[in-house]
Amino acid sequence: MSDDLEDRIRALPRQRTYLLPALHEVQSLYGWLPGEALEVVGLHLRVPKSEVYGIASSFPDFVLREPPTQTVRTCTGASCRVLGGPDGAEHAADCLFICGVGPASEIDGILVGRGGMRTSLPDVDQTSLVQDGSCSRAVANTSHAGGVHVGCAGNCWQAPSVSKDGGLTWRSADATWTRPKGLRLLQDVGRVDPYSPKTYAALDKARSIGSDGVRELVRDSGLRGRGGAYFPVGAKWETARNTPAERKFLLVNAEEGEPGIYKDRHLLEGDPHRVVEGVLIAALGIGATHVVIFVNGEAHLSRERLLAALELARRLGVVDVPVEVRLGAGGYVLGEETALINAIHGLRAEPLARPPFPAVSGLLSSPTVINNVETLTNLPDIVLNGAEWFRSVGSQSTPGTKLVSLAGAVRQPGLYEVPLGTPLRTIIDRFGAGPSQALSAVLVGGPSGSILPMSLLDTPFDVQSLQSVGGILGAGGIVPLTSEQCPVAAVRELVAYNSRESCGKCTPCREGTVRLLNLFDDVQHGRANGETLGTIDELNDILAFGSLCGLGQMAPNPVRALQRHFGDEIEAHRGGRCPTGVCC
Amino acid sequence: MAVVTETDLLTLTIDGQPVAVPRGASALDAINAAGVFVPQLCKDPDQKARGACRTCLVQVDGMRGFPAACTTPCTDGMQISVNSAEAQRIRRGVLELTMGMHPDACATNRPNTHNDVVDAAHAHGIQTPRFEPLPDPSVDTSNPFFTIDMQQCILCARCVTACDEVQHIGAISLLGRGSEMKVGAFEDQPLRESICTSCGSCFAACPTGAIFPKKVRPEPVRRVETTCPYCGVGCGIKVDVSGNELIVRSDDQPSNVSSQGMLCVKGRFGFEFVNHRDRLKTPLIRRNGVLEEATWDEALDLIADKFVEYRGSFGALASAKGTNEDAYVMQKFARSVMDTNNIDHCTRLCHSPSVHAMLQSLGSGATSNSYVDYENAGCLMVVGSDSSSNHPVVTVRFRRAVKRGAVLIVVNPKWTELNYYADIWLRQKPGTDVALFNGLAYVLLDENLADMDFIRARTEGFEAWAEAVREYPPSVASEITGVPEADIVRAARAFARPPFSGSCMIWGMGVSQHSNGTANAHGVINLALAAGMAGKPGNGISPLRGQNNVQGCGDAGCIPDNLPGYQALSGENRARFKEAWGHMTDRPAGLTVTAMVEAAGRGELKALYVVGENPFLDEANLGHAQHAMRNLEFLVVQDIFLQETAQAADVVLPASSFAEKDGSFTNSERRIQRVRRAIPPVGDTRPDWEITADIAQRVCRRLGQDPSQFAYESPSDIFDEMARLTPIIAGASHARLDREGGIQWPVPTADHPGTPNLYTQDFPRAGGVARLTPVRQGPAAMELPDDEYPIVLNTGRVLYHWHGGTMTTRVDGLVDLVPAVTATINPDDADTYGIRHGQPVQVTSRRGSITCQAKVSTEVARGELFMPFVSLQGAAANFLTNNVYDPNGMPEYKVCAVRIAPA
Repeated sequence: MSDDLEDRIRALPRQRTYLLPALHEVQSLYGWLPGEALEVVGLHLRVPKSEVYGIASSFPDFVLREPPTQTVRTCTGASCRVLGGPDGAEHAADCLFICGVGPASEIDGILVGRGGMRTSLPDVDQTSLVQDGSCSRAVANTSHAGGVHVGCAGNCWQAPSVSKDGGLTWRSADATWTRPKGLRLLQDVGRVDPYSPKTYAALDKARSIGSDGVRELVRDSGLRGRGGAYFPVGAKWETARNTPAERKFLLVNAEEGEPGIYKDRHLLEGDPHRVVEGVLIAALGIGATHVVIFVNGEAHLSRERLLAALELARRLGVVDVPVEVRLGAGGYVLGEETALINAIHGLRAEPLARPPFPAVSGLLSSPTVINNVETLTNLPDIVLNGAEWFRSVGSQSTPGTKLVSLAGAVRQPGLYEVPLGTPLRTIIDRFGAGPSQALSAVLVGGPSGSILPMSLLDTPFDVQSLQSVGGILGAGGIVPLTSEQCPVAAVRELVAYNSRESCGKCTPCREGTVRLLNLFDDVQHGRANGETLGTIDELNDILAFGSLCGLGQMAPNPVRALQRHFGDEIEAHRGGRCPTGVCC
Repeated sequence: MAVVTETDLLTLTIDGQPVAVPRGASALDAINAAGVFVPQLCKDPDQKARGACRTCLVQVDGMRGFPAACTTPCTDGMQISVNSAEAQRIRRGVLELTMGMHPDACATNRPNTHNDVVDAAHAHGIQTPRFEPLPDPSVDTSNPFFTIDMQQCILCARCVTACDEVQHIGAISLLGRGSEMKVGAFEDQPLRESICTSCGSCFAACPTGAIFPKKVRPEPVRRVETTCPYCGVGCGIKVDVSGNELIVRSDDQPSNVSSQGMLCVKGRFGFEFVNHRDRLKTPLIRRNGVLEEATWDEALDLIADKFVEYRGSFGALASAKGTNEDAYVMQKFARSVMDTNNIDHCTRLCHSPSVHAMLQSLGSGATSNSYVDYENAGCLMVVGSDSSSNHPVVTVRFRRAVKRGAVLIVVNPKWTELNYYADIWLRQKPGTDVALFNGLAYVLLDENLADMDFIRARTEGFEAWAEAVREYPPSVASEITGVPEADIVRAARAFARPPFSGSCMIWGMGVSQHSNGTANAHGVINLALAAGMAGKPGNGISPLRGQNNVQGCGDAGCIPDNLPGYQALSGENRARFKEAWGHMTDRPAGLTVTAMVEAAGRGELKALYVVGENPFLDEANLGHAQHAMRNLEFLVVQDIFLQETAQAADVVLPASSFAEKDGSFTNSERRIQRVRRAIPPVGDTRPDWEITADIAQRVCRRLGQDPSQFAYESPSDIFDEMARLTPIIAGASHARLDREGGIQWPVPTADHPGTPNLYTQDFPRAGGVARLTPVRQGPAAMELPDDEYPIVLNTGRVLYHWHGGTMTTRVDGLVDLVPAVTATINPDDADTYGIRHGQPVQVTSRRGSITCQAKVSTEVARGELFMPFVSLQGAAANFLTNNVYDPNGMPEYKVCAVRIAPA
């Protein structure tokens, strides 16, 4: 092994919580995890090497076999398929998180959008704002452009674009776009230089009203967690605050591993300062002594700009708690709080039974509040403008706005901020500029979500309304499907995804998702017998009631939604006929 | 045990049936307490719940869904429905998925295993699997004792927990995720290629028979709790006995305080020797140069006649493998009948310098603390001990300490498995320990890290000691030992100022088996005293004892210079023993083992009675020792096998093994534990105490002494007599050991709880204080490398064999794992001498030459060679070692000069 590796590994504290960072060091050096390097890691961290290997193998992003010289991964996610991407590939990726510029692929770690079509940027003057986020970089060489490089304001479909004085001066896509009004979370995204300092007015104000005041404000605002569970933020904070402990953690979940979701990336790339400010306000409210921000391991630009913003904030002297940025290594299950904690502890990415709840005993057995990036980004404005202001938009039970990752068959795929309760149709028609082709169904809420028929497009986009039609809001992903796409095939991919992403810990999820997929395949391909649908129903119950965590518990959701809304299509498939011709 | 008061109890109902459980219990505990059946496939009774198998799902009033009982805490008044139709339905569904993981779950149990899935399925009315199996073809047959068959695995992870969190080995882990998940070793290689120590804890924890024994044995009908006969750790074992009185397996004993349910490979799988066809079954008498079968009367009468004849030129070697009772009878026979103190045992060959130094400096030759102190320590300094091989279960305690954040300092010229966990490795040149420990002590004095309060109040001899220490500043110590100065300083600081709690000084043969072994031991003890690391929980002074009862054999008086309980051979003590025994020798202290061998060579010792020892394999410079022993006029060997020494004996007596007798062993932490008869004596064998007592009675009659002194009814009687005469164990008895489990001596009275830590108040020396004993580095060894013999040979042991191998070479799986003697050589030296890994090599010293197999590894430094002293395929390292001795009779096993060449 190279001395370089040994030096890098030995520079890490000899604590198991540095296992993930150590594995990242190895992978960044070799492009994969050679056995001898894992031995060095195990030796230093005093973790048996079989465990080092086993834990590494529980994260999808770690490569355990020497890869070929060139690695190409092709996105086979729902929205890329809508945009002409393949249904399958030798090295398929579930999502590359640049859905607005699909179909996407990745060559040797570099993202490529629009099927490889590159755009040349014009010469721009120094005061122009150049859209420069992950999406833009996938379709254009932005690094040489002059001007001020800013994040993507959500108009991914036009990336890259150049604006000045609030108006677009150049765009690659042939459609007009005006910055929506009433933006809260995205108000500065695409307008501020992520590498320039900002004033921390909200943080100043928060400090003047104190920890109790901040907590009261957050409770009164009715803010709910944007990670997908919509748990009242104030209640979670209260629990951690009231649990006596020397150490308390704020753990910011920026793993964002759900296919079709790229909202946290936009916030971190476009306005990392607002994120940092939100984090610091939360730390104050919770009384956190430590902050850990867990960033998706492949969201390189997010990490870079977050670290830069943190450094600027430190230089401004506003950071008053230790803040550590850790990298993830994939895994849909990390949306589950306890799995995230395990990952940081250097254990397999597997959920734990509750109680104890993380707010009572989480990281290092200390009270730990886990909040999503989007959740925390709401805080500065809540502090500045008050709870009433926050509640002035959105629904009664779920106030505020929500970032929607809108991709698939719409004219303008991108990231949009909508008041909660906005009907799905409005989101597709107004924000997405309408369907790009005739639609047949809409996927809402990702792999744990639902498939809805066009007849339900007037359903308001909020927690209760979606629940009432068998859906979930989730992290806010919406993918309209064209009439050429088969809803049964689309759901099959979600079932397959859930099966792949099962961590394997509990029997119902590990075994049940495989069985469900097999049975579903039988249905899809006309092989189902009289018992198949009944067995699927039973399996759905076992998954929902028997699984240890939300991944397994919600795995039946898309299947149930399909059964509820697309009974005719299922019957047709059972009879050996796919109405769209996709499956047969 | 904590007293459970009523307020600590929660009352709840299980299917309407009331049950009370202590606060903190899980719903599963309550269900089990109520005697209601619910599957619990992934829940190991001794481990915390994992909540993975989801087969204990129940309904609880006021809770949504179907919580897993194992991870649901009880609350007062909780109403749990285990057998509601809905709960049964969900569990049945989970079980159907579980059964889909392996093809024949409904029908079969493998031989010698039990499949909990079968019970669970039947209880839920499942007769045939619902889902086609998704077979995983992965079957790992590489381990000689057990197979891991993923087709029967339900991924409950109990094996992984046993490997990782019970034994702290970490050879197997869960690999992959989702439906790709499996149990496997590093890089999914065969288990045999991994760091697996074959301890079998995985196999013991498996609820389905996915990990199953390779050898099919008769099903057991009885289970007997006893104590492992291998090393000095003294693990509790439960041996299973079949209807035809075979020992068919051994299991761990979680309630044993010393081992806490842990075992190593030898303790779990190493018992084939008991029923082995090679067992001696009848007495043998040498007639016309050939050992022939004889009756007990013929053999014992012949022995009695001869022993009477050789009274005055007689010596006895007791066995550190026998019981305390065996040992006590043996030394009583020597002293009261044979009129000699020529009684010794193999402690001479392991820790006599340590014991001597400790007696001098501390007043007691035993370990000062308990195993639990290793776990509670903030720093462990492990000197000259490959404890992972020799004391695997106590090593688990070290690993636990490291996981808690303790600093581990390994002092050893050779890399051992423990180095994997070490913070600091002091790799001294062989034989330079005195300089190293004086150097460490220098740092203590120099940096004001010594515990001067302790030194002033509880020691004497500081000035003289400090004067010696001041000759060894780190620069000097580094020069002599080859250890970097910075490491000496770092280690000294860590030992004197551990991050929490205290520091434990732990050592093995690497300290004692040198010509300067006693000085080494003093160096080690001095450092512990200077840092004040004695007499408190979490610190202490511990020589790790080798044999299962080497502690007890010495305690019982089988040493030439002390009476039982380390009582001096004083006039007063002699008188007391004479009164009890009727007769007692007036002679001075007797000969040590090594001195007896030399005396035999000179013709001064004519008759030797050897019980369960094998000097023909154990002594240094075997050629010389064997020659000397052949000079004996009458040699009696009492053993379970016809081992090397027995083959040269005039009379051979077949003894019963540990499994066939009652008694007690005393382990390395001074814990006296019961040994219980599991099977009747094999063949015509008899327990050692019974044979010795029979010989004694026959000799008594010939001498006109009262034979009733040896008319013991049972080992319990013997123990009682020993306890009456031995203050340190006066409060112990078999009845008490049976009632309470093991007890740590000193246990002076029947109501005394035993003593976890010695020296809490004072040291059992004159004045009650310990002594700092000045020592200075002498020549590293008596024989140092030169042009002709350029390599230093170090000897030791391997995990898979015990000592000379008399027992372990009769366990097929152990021989399979280590079939041949290996010589470990540094890659640079291998290049120099043209040696390749795995190749046969010839190793030669001035005393002998053997052929063995080369192992090329950086475990040893350049210029050093390591060989275990087990005898395999006719090769034994002790043909090479040097018969030069420490002042206490310890041979220099650890250093001699050899050369090596391809064979």
